Amino acid sequence: MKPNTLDQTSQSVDATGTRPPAPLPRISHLSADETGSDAWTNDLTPIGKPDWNYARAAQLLERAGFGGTPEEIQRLATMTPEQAVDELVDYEAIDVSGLPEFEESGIYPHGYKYASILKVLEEARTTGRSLGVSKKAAPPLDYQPPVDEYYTLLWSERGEMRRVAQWWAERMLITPRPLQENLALFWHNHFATSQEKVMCYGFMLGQIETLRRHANGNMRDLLIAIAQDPAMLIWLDNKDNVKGKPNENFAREVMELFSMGEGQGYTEQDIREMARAFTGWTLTSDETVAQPGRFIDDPEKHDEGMKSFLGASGKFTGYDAIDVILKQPSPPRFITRKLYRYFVREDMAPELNEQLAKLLLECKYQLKPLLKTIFLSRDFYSQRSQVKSPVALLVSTYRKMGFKSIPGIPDFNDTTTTLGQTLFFPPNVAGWAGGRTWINPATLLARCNCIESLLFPDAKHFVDPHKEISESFRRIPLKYVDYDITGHVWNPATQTMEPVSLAIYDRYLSGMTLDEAKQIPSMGDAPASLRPNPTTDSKEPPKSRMSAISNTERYNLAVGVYTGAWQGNARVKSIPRTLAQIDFTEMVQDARVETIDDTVTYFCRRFLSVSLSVERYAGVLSFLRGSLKSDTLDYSNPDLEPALRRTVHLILSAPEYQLA
Amino acid sequence: MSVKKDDILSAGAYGVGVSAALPAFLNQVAEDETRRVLEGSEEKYPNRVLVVLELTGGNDGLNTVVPYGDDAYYRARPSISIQPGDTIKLNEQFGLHPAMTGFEALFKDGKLAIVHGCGYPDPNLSHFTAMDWWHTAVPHGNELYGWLGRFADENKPKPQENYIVNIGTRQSRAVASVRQSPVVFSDPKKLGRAGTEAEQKVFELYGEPYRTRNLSLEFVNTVSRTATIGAALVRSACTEYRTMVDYGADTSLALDLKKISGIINAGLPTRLFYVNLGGFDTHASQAPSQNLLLIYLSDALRGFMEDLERMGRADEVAVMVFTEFGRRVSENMSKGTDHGTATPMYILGNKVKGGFYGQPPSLTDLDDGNLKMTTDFRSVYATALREWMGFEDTSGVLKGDYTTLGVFD
Repeated sequence: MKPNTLDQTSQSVDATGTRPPAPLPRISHLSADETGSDAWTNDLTPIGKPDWNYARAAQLLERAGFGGTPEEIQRLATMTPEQAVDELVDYEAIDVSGLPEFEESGIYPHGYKYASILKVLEEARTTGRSLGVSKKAAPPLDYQPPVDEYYTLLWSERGEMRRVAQWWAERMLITPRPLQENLALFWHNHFATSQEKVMCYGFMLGQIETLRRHANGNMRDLLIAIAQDPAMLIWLDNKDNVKGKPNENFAREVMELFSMGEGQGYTEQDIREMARAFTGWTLTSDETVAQPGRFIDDPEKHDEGMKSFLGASGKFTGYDAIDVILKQPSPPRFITRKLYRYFVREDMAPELNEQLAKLLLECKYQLKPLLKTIFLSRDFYSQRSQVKSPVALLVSTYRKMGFKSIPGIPDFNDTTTTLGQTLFFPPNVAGWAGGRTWINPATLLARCNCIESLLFPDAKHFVDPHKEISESFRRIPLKYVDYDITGHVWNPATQTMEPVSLAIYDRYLSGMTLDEAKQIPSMGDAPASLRPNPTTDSKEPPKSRMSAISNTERYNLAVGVYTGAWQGNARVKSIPRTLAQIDFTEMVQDARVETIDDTVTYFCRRFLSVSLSVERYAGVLSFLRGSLKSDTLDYSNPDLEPALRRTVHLILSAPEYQLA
Repeated sequence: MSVKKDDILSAGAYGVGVSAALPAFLNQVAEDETRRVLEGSEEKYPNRVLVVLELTGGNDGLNTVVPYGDDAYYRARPSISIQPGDTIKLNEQFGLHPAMTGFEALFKDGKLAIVHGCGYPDPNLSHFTAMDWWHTAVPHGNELYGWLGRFADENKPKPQENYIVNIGTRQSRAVASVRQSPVVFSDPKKLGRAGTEAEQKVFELYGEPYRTRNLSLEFVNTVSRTATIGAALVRSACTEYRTMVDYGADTSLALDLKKISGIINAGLPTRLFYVNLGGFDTHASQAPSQNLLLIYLSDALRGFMEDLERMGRADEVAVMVFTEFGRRVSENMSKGTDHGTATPMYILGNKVKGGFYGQPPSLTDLDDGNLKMTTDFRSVYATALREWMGFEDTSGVLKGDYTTLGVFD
């Protein structure tokens, strides 16, 4: 069967959908989207065994668990649909003890965690010491050591957070419980908390572990756990929500964004009253590594008075507030709609929403029956119109390639950030808008270009973003030549920040590599343009305006930013910059592919959920024909692998690849 | 047109460099495109451009346009008020925050209109909801498309590449349109597909939509078309633009406004620009952060106006500045301010009749500690569309009739 032009959704089921993917006796099928059926739209009837096939198993794994290799899909296809869904949803049975734990860099060598700069300066002023670092005895720049440590912590928090994100992405890739990670990602978006404000990677990591623990459990347990989660207590200020001085932030969002939905049956008065119920749910002091902050229910800070919200009155606590919320009609609708939007389609039919909300309520907010109903429903298999999120795009691409680790180039975080999503940094408390908002001209092009960077990595010009000091920061020492500080450049050979003279540093900034910059003999320390004008009076050493300032300054934030950047980078462990190990030749050889037509078909089937139009398919085919100058594959041809890579690059750059 | 992989990858992660041969060709295309758009147009002001600048987070209007003549202001803000001596006085009652020397210059040149007390009935204090309503111009509604998007749909029903440019990492709801596909970008160097010459032929196919019943695919295909055709023009316009005009510090806003200057300078047919500056949610220690933000804001806009003057396009561009809400009249315990309601809007441009518009809200007759709005923000939108863009019937776009303010001649 050739690709179709007019209709991507309504073709009848093709028998080839049940065929094992490799070896393929005769490939006559592009991809699996033809399996959808308009008649199944909005139908919650479980999919029957006769309708279960390779294509549908592929769709289940793609949407519920970031996709997989043909072998992994085939394994699900040979089960009954119920077995396949049960295996994904009842994942507790699967052992994950072999998955690696996060390896800490140890970014708190002085035992102190990040604190605000105002606090640091105040402490340094009153005690002579802050963040475990003493200030110097006398000016100039006597406060600089604590200020430098402040920026070092700021920077290493960011770096370590990136490492956590990389570690999580790898877990998504290799876990035998893909739905658990996907649900954790869903809840990360639902309870969108950002390191931007939390500024503690350990709390962010802890929150993901909490989300993972309750991912398919009970909504009530999840809401309580998140309300008491340290990162959340910081993010929505409930740690400062105390008797007499209520902070409404958490009370507002727990209804607006976490359970009921904006404007769904609560008032500003309800928010004010509910905030009082959550008073006292707070965090212990979080300054040192030895005594990190933890949740406590502080009776001293709890407002024990009567509260009235959502039609109920009583001396409510936080637990009561969550119970009162869950008795409202809106949460089951809100939560099912959001899950449906994530897993099935952007706009859910109101009748379906009612039906599933009823189910969730009947199951007392247990999520498993709801998830199973969704994954078994005919509606789930009726269309292929979900836009992949940046994280899902990358992880599923890597899973389909059969990778066992996240490649170091391109950088995972940088790539998803370019595409609009940075793990642990949702744009705001409402999370990523998702769906079609992922796609605009710039992100669509970036989606193509990240595939290019994956398949044709440019290791020579790769700049490690975990070690890179951004341009504006790098220029600081040039502006502040008089501050006796040294330029630092990332040395890829030693994987460290290496101190260099300002002359070398200047050349490095002008675009040379570190090696090139070092080869030119030194011409003096600072670039001429930045050095003070030589004066005719040789007795008086030349003085710039900056050096006059630096003699009287107690601390300099710009110098702190610079020092913190390179010191912070050095404090964080490196991410191995491995290249992806890909062998497309071996893939097609294993599948016993002989012609270029079958080659393009094989890759389309392996990677695409929505097939290419006739014209685009023909375009890719003619590209491969042009590259190989042949209609058949010659496995001894050294140009075969590059040509196959380009072909896959084209297929993965297609608009069709953005959908699942 | 094609872009070589080497060009694309030389600029960084997946950045795009443009080969030297490209500019002349692209400028020709841009010129042709512009001429095609202009000929046959029945618009009253077919050359006029509207730039909308969003101050994200809720800027504190009372510390921006300071009511220094009102004691109530100083009573409500014992520790964070701007003292009369520090205020840049504009009249007997109001002055600018001392950081806003850029706005001061524009005001003195008669190019800055300040509209008092902008808001809407029954305000919402959530960032997301309030911003959504400003974007859609439909408070308390669930409108899908933005007010600029709806304007584009009516003013330019035929899809026009690059009609709307939204600078930012995410598309704003304000420009969501049925017929136009806004070009959304932050780094112009990344607006291209890396690949070999031979691959570019296939990429061109990716820029050609086809009929399908999969609506999501249809959507991605449409965006792909814009990405393939329109984005290349924008890329070269931005990356090749050079100016000696000072936009202040190299902030995101200054850099974004320079991109807009580049696009205007290249003669692309863009009529609507959307850009934002974030960080205004100043709940704690407001003074230092707002101080910086206001410097960035007013310096960058003054530089932008000067640059337009330099390229001879200043008479054709107006800028409208808004934020999703002002802040409470009283300061909070953390030397900051919490979410509030009514707040000034600003319109800048050569054709603007500078000065104050609307009634200043009372600082004592409050609604639960918040200012009562005096000007519906949709009146300001109507002013931008009717008086500036020359689009007469705004009742459909704004879903109601709003009087204009007479800001433009």
